[in-house]
Amino acid sequence: SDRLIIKGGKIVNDDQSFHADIYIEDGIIKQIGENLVVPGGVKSIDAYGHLVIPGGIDVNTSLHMPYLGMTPADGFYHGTKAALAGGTTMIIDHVLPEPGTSLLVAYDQWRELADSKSCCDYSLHVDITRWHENLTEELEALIKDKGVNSFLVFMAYKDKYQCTDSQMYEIFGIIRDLGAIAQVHAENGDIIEEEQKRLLESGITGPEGHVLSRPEEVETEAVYRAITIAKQANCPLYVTKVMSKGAADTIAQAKRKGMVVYGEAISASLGTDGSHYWSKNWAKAAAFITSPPLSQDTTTPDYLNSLLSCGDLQVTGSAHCTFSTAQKAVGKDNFTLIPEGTNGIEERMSIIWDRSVTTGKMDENEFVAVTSTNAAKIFNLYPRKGRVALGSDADLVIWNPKETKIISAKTHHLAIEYNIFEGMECLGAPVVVMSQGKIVLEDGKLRVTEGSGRFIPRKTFPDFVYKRIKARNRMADIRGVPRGLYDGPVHDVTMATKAVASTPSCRGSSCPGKAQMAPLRNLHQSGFTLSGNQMDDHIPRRTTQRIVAPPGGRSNITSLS
Amino acid sequence: LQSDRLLIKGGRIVNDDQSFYADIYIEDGHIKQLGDNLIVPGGVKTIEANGKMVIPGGIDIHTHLQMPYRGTTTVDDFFQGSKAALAGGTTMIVDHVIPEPGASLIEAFERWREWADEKTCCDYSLHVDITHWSDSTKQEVETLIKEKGVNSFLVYMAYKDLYQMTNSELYEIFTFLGELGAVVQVHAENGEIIAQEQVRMLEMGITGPEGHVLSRPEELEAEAVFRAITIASQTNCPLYVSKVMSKSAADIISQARKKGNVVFGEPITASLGTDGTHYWSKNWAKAAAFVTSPPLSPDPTTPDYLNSLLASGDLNVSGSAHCTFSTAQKAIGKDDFTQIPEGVNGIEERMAVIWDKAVVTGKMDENMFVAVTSTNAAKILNLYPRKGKIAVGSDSDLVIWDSDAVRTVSAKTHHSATEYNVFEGMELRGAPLVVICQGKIVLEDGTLHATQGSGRFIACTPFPDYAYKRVKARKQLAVLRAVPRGMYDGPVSEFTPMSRGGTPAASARTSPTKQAPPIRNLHHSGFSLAGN
Repeated sequence: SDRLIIKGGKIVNDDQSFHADIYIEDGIIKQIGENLVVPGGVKSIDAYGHLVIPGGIDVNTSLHMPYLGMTPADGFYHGTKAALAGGTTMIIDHVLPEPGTSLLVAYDQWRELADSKSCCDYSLHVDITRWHENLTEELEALIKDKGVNSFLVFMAYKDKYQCTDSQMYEIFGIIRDLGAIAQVHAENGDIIEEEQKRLLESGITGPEGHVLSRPEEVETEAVYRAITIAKQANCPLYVTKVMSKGAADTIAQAKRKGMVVYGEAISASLGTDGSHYWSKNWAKAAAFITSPPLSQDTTTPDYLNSLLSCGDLQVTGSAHCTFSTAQKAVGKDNFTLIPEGTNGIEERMSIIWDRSVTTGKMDENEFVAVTSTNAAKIFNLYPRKGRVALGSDADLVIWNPKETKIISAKTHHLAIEYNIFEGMECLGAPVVVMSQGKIVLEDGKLRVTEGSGRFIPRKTFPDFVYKRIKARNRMADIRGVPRGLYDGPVHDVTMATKAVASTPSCRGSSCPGKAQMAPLRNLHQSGFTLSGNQMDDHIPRRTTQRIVAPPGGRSNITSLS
Repeated sequence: LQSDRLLIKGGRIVNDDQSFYADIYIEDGHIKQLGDNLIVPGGVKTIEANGKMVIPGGIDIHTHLQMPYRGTTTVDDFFQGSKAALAGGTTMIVDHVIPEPGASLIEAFERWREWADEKTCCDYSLHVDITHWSDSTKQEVETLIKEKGVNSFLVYMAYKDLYQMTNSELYEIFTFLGELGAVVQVHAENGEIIAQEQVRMLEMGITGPEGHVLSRPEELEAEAVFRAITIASQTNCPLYVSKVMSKSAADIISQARKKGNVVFGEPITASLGTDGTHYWSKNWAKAAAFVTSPPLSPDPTTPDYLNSLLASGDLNVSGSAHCTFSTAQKAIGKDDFTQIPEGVNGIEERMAVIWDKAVVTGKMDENMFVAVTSTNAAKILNLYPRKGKIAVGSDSDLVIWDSDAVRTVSAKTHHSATEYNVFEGMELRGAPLVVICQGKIVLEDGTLHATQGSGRFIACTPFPDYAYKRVKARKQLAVLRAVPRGMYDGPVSEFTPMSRGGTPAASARTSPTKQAPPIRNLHHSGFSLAGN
């Protein structure tokens, strides 16, 4: 039905909760309040005693990640179906282009697949798998014409996807100028490679080798480095998959120092730990393989839930990327070949509710923030997504905080034969899920339509992220010191080019012509001032852009049109 | 004037662990007797210490004397530099050998030995900088450790395309040196980002010395320190961070020490005594005089902070990184800060700066002063107790320290050949009254009697206890075991082996031939393979 009224529920947004009815028409929330006047014959849903929350946004999925000619067992269809079953009504999937190929081609390929298969709205991150000359143009095209505003760079997977520090710095600079968000897969790939060699040489070939070769220090180091580089480039940073205490602490400290940095915890790191890598059942141990690995420290999930509650980490994804046991078995004799990825798209909301809300770490509003609103704000979907408000999309979940479910591979909606959360009892579950104003889950029955999901384009310069960056860009106005010309003796170095030079850079000499200001003798004359690119210069203004009418509240969307 | 036998009477002997009153009798460059009412041969020259402190001579663990740079050399050669060291109460220096990238380490080492043997007037040792990494370097490093008396090597994380090492190279070097028992030193700065920032500064038209510090913000130092510690922890190798210049780098080191990492931090005279505000001086020559890497921090509270960490033991040793170029030499970079030769003075001022900033202010006591200026360095170099301690049998490198003396640092009066001094005008309490090197008086009544070429090369041996006891214990614990499990006999998917497509797993470089066969019988005990 196209028209719906939800009665008697408690609406929960990230800022407040209140009792009201919701009237939905054409996939949009049309009215909120009591005693609504609605057309006759409208289907009514009873939400008494339940919460009505904005549908979850899963910011990290890899439903179509190619690996050695295989693709994950859950494609866009099974994956989004499971998402809806768990109360997630939008996903943001990662486009992973083969290194050396065009980002745009890969993007089109993903669009095609997702448009035909996805059952919920989706958006796309694009992973930068190799630095190349035309990267700037490609990024610009993706940002301006394709609705992508976030890009992932890899600090791991040496000789495959890994970026050097200079490449990261340059990419961050481009991303900042274009108003997008830089995501990093943070692990030190150089060290990992050395450790992998060492472990294989000492005869460790099972899944435990995966975690032994990727200790959490290596994750922490990369997070620290990424933050340093982002700070230099004045670029907002988003760390995907925060798996360890060390990495989370580093992010929290950087925030305290004023960095614009976001950390994403995933279902697996919030719900389980890495002790299973030592399981004697190979298939079980292999099921937990993901990178960065789950921490061996069993207190990590609780710790990450706490940081999520206090705002040090802001968003949650699932990093859902599921390979069947037979696919995982590709690496049965060598852990480095095991396809990486865990499930979590369906369990994410329930795990956070159970671990954080029922334990009293966070309240229902914070729950909405970390499962939906913050993601919408960071990726510039707010308030169309992530909020129950007039004009917002009717992606809603009626949440029963008292329902208990036991997670099991027997009952989940995935195509894989295992579930890393097997046997976990979770309090809190969706009773009704609405996507685009249509009921997809009711009375325990899932009714999804393959291909009904729409691609949601995202615009640049999300306020949530860029307000501060813009202000800093204006501040970062570096001045040279006006000083008298040095006219003393200069040591002659002409004969000496071959000798040891202890200053770096022949690069410095690359621009002597244009760069050198003639030093001023008159010290009263004011120094020169040079400002960098102003962010405002780059706000894309395109006539073809679809303008989304802002539903109530502040409108960062219209200001761009 | 100079005698082989000496008696120091009435001094208060200060070691890193305790202070006590005793006389010292010296013969043939060694301390022969220590105590009250010593029985000594007649006619021995006696020095009256009158209750003043007698401390082990300072060890300056980081110098660059007579360093070649683009066909010229630093203005302080081994004679001038070591003379200045003695004048300040430092009786031993450890200089850095910097081989040209690609050139032989041993040849460079021999060249440095030749220069130093001919000119130094105090004992010295050498660190060797690893400026490139290959199999032949490996062999040379092994020779240097086993035959040449070198136990510490520096690697660079900065100076892109010149000295800089990749993370993988660092990992290999750390592993290699860890096995041979050497101490790994790092120059910690992220060279990749510095190169980018330098280009940006020059493009913006910033060519003066302020560009040096703007292109090397302290975050880049802290980042590199963090990375070096991570790699050292993975490879179980002791780490020594040379030139700790900023609060954030020092904090990273102290955090790592709290987590149990074996890491030592070395602040230098300049970072303890002055700050980076001078880079903005309108006098180009003055601003350029402060150019060193990592740069001095523009935060003026940094020196105080570093002195506190030195006092608390979070930082362990102090050097000077003395590397002096004349203003004319610095002016090579007058139009481009990246061309300014790097280095500051500090060999002569080191002891007095620390006394004035840390002891007079009550941050540390005299024993800690001895520890950070001498004893800890001797321990890291594996020269303890020959150096760094006043004990029977130790070398008689001694200083009678006058804690009441007040001196003003100035280029007019210092013993270095440079025409500037980064500490110009600074009033420092504490100064050496008498300096004894190899049992000979070299400073007395304000007069310096240094003999060119009298310094000896002191060979260092590997596996210093101070650094390696813990590392050895951890090595025994770090035994990796595989999980004994039944063989996976389920279905295996078809896959394209090593397609160019996106495998996120590691590389073809792993060794599939070495795999241990899985065991079917679970009652059969699992295999266990120990690491190194």
